[in-house]
Amino acid sequence: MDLIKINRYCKQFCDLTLEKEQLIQTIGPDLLPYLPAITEAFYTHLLAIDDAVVFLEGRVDSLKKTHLDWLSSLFTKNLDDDFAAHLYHVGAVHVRVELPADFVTGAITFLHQKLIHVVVYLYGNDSVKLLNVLQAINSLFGYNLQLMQLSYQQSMVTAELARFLDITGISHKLFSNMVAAYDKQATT
Amino acid sequence: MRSEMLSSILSDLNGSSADIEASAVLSTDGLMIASMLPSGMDEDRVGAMSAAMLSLGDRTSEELARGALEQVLIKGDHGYILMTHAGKDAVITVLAKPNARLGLIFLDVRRAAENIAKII
Ligand code: HEM
Repeated sequence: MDLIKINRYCKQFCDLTLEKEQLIQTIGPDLLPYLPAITEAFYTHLLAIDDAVVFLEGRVDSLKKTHLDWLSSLFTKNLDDDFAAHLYHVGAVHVRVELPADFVTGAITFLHQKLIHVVVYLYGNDSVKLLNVLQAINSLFGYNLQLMQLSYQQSMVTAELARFLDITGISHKLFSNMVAAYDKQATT
Repeated sequence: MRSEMLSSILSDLNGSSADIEASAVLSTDGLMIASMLPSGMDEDRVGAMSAAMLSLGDRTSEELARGALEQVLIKGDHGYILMTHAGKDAVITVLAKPNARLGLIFLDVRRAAENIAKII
């Protein structure tokens, strides 16, 4: 897995340009004070969704902190390859706890919507800035979602393969040899 | 030396019955160790498929309470494929004609498997 390539690909796809990244860093200090309240609203929202509650029971406080750290990092950290690697890891952790992939899409949509509210409140008087910030945040959330979806896809395939091999008793080595035998055939 | 001995076992096996068309020894990881296969048959595929079938056979036999696996037998329009362990690290695969007398082949293959197990 080439994270440098994946990071570049997701940024390009979501049109997260260097200018947008710089703008996000610039507005970070304005937004940071609102992020704890958004996190609270996010968990209140999740706890009202029956299917989500099972994933949260007994760990809401620690998840809130984890979540706030991630949300803050969007406006304080460089969205570099380490960041992409971290999000890839987050996707894998979610797959490990069997969190449905669509939960992440719903979560991103909810958070995006909350941030739009804050952004309009902060920059509503300057329509040019407002447009630029809204576009930057749209790209930012899309980029996060796409990275986590890619990670999900890969982790799910890995997890399903591991389960299949476990059930059939086929070793990883044998599976690799099977793949090699058929890959070779496909290219000759 | 080892590969010559294995080839000679396979050669004897193929010669033991006119019904046996081909045979091969492979590792349980699916890698070919020695083979007497028809030209055009891909050794890597035969190795990988045979080891996978045997692995699945092991599990199925265990799961359906049939005890330790002795062999896996597949029959197609054009004949039989017989797979059996040759010791714990190797597999022997034999291809036989559609009307083959299996009883005799089972015996010959078991003997060959024992001999292979001693070498590997
Ligand atoms: C915007 C979407 C989300 C982001 C960015 C996010 C972020 C994170 C992060 C950073 C972690 C810590 C990973 C680690 O151990 O290093 C985590 C873990 C976790 N998340 Fe999320 N999360 C999201 C959505 C959700 C949703 C919607 C739920 C449940 C309804 C959820 C449930 C969990 C759980 C249960 C863990 C803990 C896994 C464990 O046992 O270690 N997450 N998440």
